Order: sequence, then C-alpha cells, then structure tokens
Amino acid sequence: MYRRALTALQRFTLRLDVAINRVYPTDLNPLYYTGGLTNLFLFILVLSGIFIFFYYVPSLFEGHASIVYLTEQVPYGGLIRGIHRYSADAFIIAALLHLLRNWFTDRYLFSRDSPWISGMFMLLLGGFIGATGYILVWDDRGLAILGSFNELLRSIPLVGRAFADLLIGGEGLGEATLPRILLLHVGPASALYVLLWWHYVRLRHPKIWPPATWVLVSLGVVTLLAAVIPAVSGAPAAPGASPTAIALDVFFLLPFWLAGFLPPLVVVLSIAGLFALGFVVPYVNRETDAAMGVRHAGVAQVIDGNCTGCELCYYDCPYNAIVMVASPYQGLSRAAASRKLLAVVMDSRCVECGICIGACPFEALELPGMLESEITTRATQAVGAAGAVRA
Amino acid sequence: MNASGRLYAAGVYALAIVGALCAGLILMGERFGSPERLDLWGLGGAALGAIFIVYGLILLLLRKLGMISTRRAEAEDDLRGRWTKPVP
Amino acid sequence: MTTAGATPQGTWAPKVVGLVCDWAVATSTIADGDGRLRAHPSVVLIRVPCSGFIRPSWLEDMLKAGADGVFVVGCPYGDCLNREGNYLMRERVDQLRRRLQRRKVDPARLGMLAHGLHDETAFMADVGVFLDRLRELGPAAVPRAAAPARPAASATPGGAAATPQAVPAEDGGA
Repeated sequence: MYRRALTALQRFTLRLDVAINRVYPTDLNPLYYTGGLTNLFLFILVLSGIFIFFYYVPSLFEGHASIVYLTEQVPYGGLIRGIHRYSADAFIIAALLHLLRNWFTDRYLFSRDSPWISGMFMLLLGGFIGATGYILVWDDRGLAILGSFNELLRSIPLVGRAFADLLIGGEGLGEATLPRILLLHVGPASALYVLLWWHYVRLRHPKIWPPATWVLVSLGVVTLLAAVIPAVSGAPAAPGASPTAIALDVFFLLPFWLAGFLPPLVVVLSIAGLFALGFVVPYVNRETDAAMGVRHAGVAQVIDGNCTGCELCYYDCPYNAIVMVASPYQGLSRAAASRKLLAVVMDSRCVECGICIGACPFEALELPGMLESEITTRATQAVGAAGAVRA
Repeated sequence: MNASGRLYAAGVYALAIVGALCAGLILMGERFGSPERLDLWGLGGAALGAIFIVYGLILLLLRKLGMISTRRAEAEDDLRGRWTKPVP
Repeated sequence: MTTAGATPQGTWAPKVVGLVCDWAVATSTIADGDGRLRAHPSVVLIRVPCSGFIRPSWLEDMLKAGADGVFVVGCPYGDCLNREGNYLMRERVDQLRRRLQRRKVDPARLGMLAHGLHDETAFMADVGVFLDRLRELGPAAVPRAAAPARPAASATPGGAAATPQAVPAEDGGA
C-alpha cells in the first residue's frame, strides 16, 4: 500500500517535471535544486541573523524594545528583520520540497540513507530554531509559545522536567531565560552546518547553490515580501496577562496550536512518531529487488588484473565509493603490469549505478548483474536482427 | 531569430526598463528622503527586491535565447544540428 | 539479407540500437519485450542502470558491427538519479564523436538524448528525427571481417571482457 502510493507519487512528480521542463531549460528547473535553495535560505538567515544579533538584547525588559528599535529606528533594520522572518519560512518550504522530491524519486537507496538521516535531523533542528526565534521577539505571541513549549516538555515522563528547565534556564521565568533561548537559537543554527557536512560527505560535487537565476529570484522574493508585508512585533510580553488570539506561522508554530486543544503528551508523541517514521523511510524499499531490474545489478567489482590505476573511475564516481590504494601486487595485462595505484570499490558506498564501468577504458570494472559480454551479445543480436525487419 | 526568440528579447528589454525604474526609485529616495532613511523604507525595500527578481528573470530569458549557458552539454542538440538556439 | 538490410519493397529501415537508462524514458508502453520499438521496428532498445554505465567502446563497436545508428538516452540534465551520470556520458559521447571522425566513422550516427520517465512523446519525436537523419546518410559501410583487438584487453583473465569481433551484417537476420 505504501509502495503503491509512493509509485503514484513518483509518477506525479516526474510528470510535473515534464510540464515544468517545457518552460525552463532542464538544468534551470527549480525543483532540481531544492537542496540548494534550502542552503541559500539558510545562508540568508545566517547573514540577516548576524545583523539582528548586534541589536538584540536578551533581557526580559529590553528584549521586545530592542527588536522594535531595530525595526523602526535602524535604517533598513525592518527590512533585514523581515528578510530573516520570510527566509525562515522559505527555508522550511524548500526543505520540505527537498524531502518530498528525494522521497518520491527513490533518492535514498543504498548508501544515500546518509544524506536522508542527516536531513531529517536538520529538519528537526530547523523547526526548533524557528520556534525559539519567535520566542526571542518576546511579544505576547513569544510568551505564549514559551509557555506552550514549557508545557509540552514537562509532559514527557521522567526527563520532561529537566528539559523544560534547560529551555527556560532555571526553575521558572527569569533573567536567565532569554539568554538561554538565544543560545538555543544560535547554537543549533551552527550545528546545522556540521550536519550539512554529514549531508554532503558521501556525495561528489553536491549541488550546494542553485543557479544564478534562482539565487537572485529567491533573494528578491524575500526582500519584496519583507518590504510589502513588514514583520512586526506584537504587544510586549506580560507574564500573567490573559492570553489573546495570536497570529500563527503554520511552518513553525503548528505544534503549539495543536497543544491548544490536544493533551501535550499527545502532541509530543505525534511529533516524535512522525520523525521516527521519517527515519525509517530509506530502509523501506519501494520496489522489490526483482522489480528494480537493471538498477540492482550488484556492487561494482574491480577486475584487478586489468586495473592500471588511471583514476578515471575514482574521478567519475558520484558517491566517492572508489578509493585508490597503493597497488599491493602487479596486474596481469601489459598496461596493468606497471601500475602504482589500484582502484578499490567500497561496497557500503556503492549504489550500483555503473558509472565507473563507463569510465574505465581498460575493462577493469564490471557489474555482476550486467556484464559487458551481455551488452555486446545483445547489441550484436540487435544489429543483426534489426536488419531483418521490414520498414 | 524566430517568434519565440523575439518574445524573449522583448521580455529582456521590458525587464531591464523595470529594473532601471526601480534603481531610479532608490536613487531618488536617497536624494530626497530623510537622512535617517526611515521613511518609506518599505518602498525602497520593494524596489530592491524587484531589482533582484528582475535580474534573475533576465538571466532566465537570456538562457532561453541561448546566449548564456552553464554547460555546453544541454545546448548542443545532436539530432537537429551542432548548436540549437534557442534552448527549449 | 543484403548488407543494406533492404527489404523486398525497397524501403530501407536504418538498424539502430538505443541504450536507454532505466530511469530515463519508460519504454514498456512503446516497445515490446525484446526492446523493439513498436513504431519503428528496426530500432532495438537495451536498458542499462544509468546512462553513465555505458562504455564509449561499446558504442563504437556497435557502429563498426554494422549498426546504422546508435543512441544513448539519459535523464534530463540536472535530474540524473545518480546526479552526474548524464553529464559524464555527454562528455564521453562528445569525445567519442571526435574519435570517430578520425577513424572515418560518421559521428552523426551517434546521438545522445535526455528524456524523463514520462516523456515518451518527446522521445518518440526525437527518435523520428534521428531516423530521418540516418535515412539521409544512407546505410553504414560494410564492416571489416575482424576488428583489431584493443591494446588494453590483450591479457584479460576470465574472458569477461570479450572483444566483440565485428559481426558482418550478412550473417544477421533471416
């Protein structure tokens, strides 16, 4: 059932591509750069965040005022604040599009579970960072979110209380709270770059940035939004005042809205359950091995006798699955007899794509399920048999 | 240049004019606005955002005209000739 | 069966082999079980795991063996399932075309296409254009009886890398 749904979603995704590629040259299709767009928005967030950081004072009395000062008294301060706000939403949208696209197009198989798992952690952290960002504004919405977050954490049995105290910097609201929330906003944002390293580490030439067109258009859209719909603070946070209706940011604040009418532990368990399912995705294959056919032809095998250490396979492998080692013994063919290096395929990283086979000029690599002899036999048959056909 | 090429070229000129107008808006704002740069920052920010978007779209149209390309690969069409312009 | 593969009616169908990446255009609706295209029965498709899997030497051997045309189909540029396979293949195909020119094989007989999984219409249109061009070029030259062995494959153990001897077109078919 899951498999059939996923196949249908893949068909939808790829048909959408056909439609989009009628408008854009294929290598400018924005959906091919969802990861790059996410990274771009993260970069914009960091730069605008550094600017805001210089003006923000994390104290119960000055937190709100410092942000208002930034918005109203600093030249273009309101613009930078708005850019920060809208890039955060754009970051989550791009990250979700990235997740959905890579999920629906089978890009998590074999060793590609590494980027997937690191990506799920980044999504979790990103959501957390966004929520703390809203708290830092320290208006009535920020206070309500903090209260709700506190409640959600405390509902966790055994460890909940400790986590809640870590969040608010002590037993209750105090002067330590906002500096703690600021730390929890900036620290995980830096940790995102560590996770991003993990995300890229198994890939050669990762698409880190989108093409220039999309960099400019994305930057322009968040700037335009920031100018046309300014980001404003609500009333200053007043602990003890009765809660009023607050505007909801659906990307970051959904759990807190749910906590308004669901028991807190239910909300916590739903979020945990959703992410747990997310972590399982790369290990549930959409197709059976047989249905994958030629795409599951076995891990690439180096034919030691022929390898000359030319490194062409090493340069071409998109997953860094081939390493060159000092040749421990000499090869058999004449070209391989005087080699210095030998190619070795790391099974855990090989996704069985066969690109190394195409790169090798010395017939030193084979896919067990699709040997060169099979290709040449079928091609010979095809050339011979095709001649017998009438037009 | 064929019909769609002419359309794209017209689009480039139109977008360039829009961009120049936005730049003019910003320059005027600097010249006539208050020294604190606080009034009408919304308009200035909108003009800035529009300039970015316009530049990005100009690049897209130039790409469709075949005048710039990131990789030689997709601009070459084996079947219809060595180099096809415009890119689909 | 003559080398030109001419049919009794006199119309000539170019013998074409297409190597199709398994993630590129889906061929189950347009080809039969052997990979023969329904609309153009002289075109046979072979599915491979990735367009980057294809060794340029296979394409050259197919042309030398008497195929009138050979094409490779990969994913749309920017969307290779394995990220770079189609770009790498594109560069190999370009390099092969330059080599073919030096060896007096017409590089126009080699083509590379890029189509997504549900792009059958555009793919069939491209195949039609390719066949038209081959018809203009005419049938391939008679292949030599024995192709020279490639130097690197002189002492391969296990015989896994068979140097395909050119199969004269006279032997093929009915």
